[in-house]
Amino acid sequence: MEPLLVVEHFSVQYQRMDRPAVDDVSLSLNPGQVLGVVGESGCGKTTLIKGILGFFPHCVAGVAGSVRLEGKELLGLPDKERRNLLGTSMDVIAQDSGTSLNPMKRIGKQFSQILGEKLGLSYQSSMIYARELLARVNCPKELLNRFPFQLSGGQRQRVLIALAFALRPKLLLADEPTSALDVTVQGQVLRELELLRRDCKSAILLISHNLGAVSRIADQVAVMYQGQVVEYGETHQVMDTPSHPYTKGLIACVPSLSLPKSQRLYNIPQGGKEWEGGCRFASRCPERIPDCQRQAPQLRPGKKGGLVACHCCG
Amino acid sequence: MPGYLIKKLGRLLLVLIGVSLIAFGMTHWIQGNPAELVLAQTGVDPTQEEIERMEHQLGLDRSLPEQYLTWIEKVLQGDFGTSYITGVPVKEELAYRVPATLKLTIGAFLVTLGLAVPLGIWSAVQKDKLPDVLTRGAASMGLAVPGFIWGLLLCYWFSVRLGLLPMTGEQTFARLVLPVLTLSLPLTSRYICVIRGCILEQLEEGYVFLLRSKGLRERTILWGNVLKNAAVPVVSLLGLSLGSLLGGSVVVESLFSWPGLGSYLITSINNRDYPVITAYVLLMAVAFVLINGLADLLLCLLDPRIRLGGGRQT
Ligand SMILES: Nc1ncnc2c1ncn2[C@@H]1O[C@H](COP(=O)(O)OP(=O)(O)O)[C@@H](O)[C@H]1O
Ligand SMILES: [Mg+2]
Repeated sequence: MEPLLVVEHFSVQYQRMDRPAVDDVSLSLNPGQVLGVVGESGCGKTTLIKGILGFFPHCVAGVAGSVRLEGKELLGLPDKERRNLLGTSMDVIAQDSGTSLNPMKRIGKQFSQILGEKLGLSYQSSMIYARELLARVNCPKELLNRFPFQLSGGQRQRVLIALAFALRPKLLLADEPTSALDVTVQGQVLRELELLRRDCKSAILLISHNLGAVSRIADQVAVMYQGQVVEYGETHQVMDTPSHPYTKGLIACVPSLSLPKSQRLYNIPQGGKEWEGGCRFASRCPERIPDCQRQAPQLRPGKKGGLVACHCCG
Repeated sequence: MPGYLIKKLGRLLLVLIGVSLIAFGMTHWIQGNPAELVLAQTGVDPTQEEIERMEHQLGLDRSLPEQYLTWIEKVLQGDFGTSYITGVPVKEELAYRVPATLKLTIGAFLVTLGLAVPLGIWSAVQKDKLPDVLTRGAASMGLAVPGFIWGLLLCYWFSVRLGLLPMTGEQTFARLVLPVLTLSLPLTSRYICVIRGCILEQLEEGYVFLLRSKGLRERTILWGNVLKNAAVPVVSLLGLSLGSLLGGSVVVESLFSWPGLGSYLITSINNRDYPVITAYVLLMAVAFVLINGLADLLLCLLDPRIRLGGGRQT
């Protein structure tokens, strides 16, 4: 099967940063599948998503590699062609979704503006469609008459998911869609994303630092560290039998309710010095060997399947 | 909405009362004994007896609150007393001068909006391209050089050298052009920068990212969303700027010998013609209050967060 999204050797360099924020990342995503991308904040997840969309702010100094959607190269695509793809072929739920709605426009108006321009619907039919969409994400249709500040955080997030539903994108990039929400709402929002995937057969690139969320709905997982993918494989295998020391650390960091209170939480040690070459994780790595600081490990098949970038556990 | 407006209007009313107290104080303490002044004007010898008779006649022997009330009652009927210099009721002079100043300031206001709005939008849309650089350069010039210098330059070129526009004579449209331009130039320059800044700020907002990521045209984003949102800070500034327009009119009217309130004020200050000065202060206060009340009303209509009392946290 031809993958829907192929990202190859993709790098994004910001001005005045000593290393690329996204560094030689390769990923692929099949239609209807969910790929989870995890990693601590600042590792380049949002930059990756914006790069796939082709949104490079002025402070981006260089971009390299290839991003293909259904075989079509996206890097360097003219604005007009990209606009035709945006929304319908790929869509995004931005990280700070609290500000993603126009604060001065009623929700209904925002629906009708987008549906009108992208699907050519009249105001009346876009309202009918919007009510249906809101019902699907368990929101009352009264929300259409409200302004964003009159909605709760969870409702705003669901409105955004409904807006993403509306155009039935083949690929949805979801940037920490649950991070700003409380735990009960997180579960509901994840269910609604699942629904979107089932109904629209959308593939989802789910970014999160919530490992629980990712392991629940992702088919594959990529673990990012300082702009690079350090481990990449099937979800169960990465989550249950992690290879890379960083992945192990991330999983050990998740607080578990079943743990006795007396047990201290695991803590990945903070790296002391600046990175000077070799493995980026070396200075924090409990399994470090002398080779690590000399030579950067390549991403290659690990013993347990999947891909790992590590000298000592490959 | 009514709650917000009532609070604002209440505050403006307090401003009016405060200004009227100051103006009242001015008539009473700064100008010396009005009884003596009137006597001097009528040529009667200011003996103690005569002064006391006059004080009684003018109501100066009553308590201050009583005097304030009679004074304000007269003022509310448009009776500002008689000019010490000409002996003409101030009311008659105002009836002639207020329309002249209104023509000037409203003209300058319209010119400011008419120039600054399109140029500010254009400049923002073309950010860092040639039109933006040129507009911003021109705006900086307009800001750096004081208004009256522009006035002198404009006079020199258009009246003296080219003979295109008259500097004296009837209050015709052609006569109005130079003073209006002089008055509006600095304000126009400022508003180009303000409007450009407000639009650029809005373009960084999350909702613009959302609309772009749905593949909407920049045109829809700008005209259908950004401009209305950017108008909110601009409108609240405009209320304040009309005050500076009225202040600027004092200089411009003297420069172009335009028979408005400003030049009237200057001659009156030179002659210590207190009834006129008091009338001017009161009129300006009323204008300030009216304009700000109007700006608040407009903001209320524009911004649902103000109208419905929602926070800005969205
Ligand atoms: N606009 C920008 N200009 C310069 N550096 C940036 C910019 N945005 C992000 N970065 C840097 O790039 C790195 C990755 O950021 P980001 O992609 O936002 O990470 P994440 O989403 O994983 O938290 C960080 O080190 C951040 O400081
Ligand atoms: Mg992020």
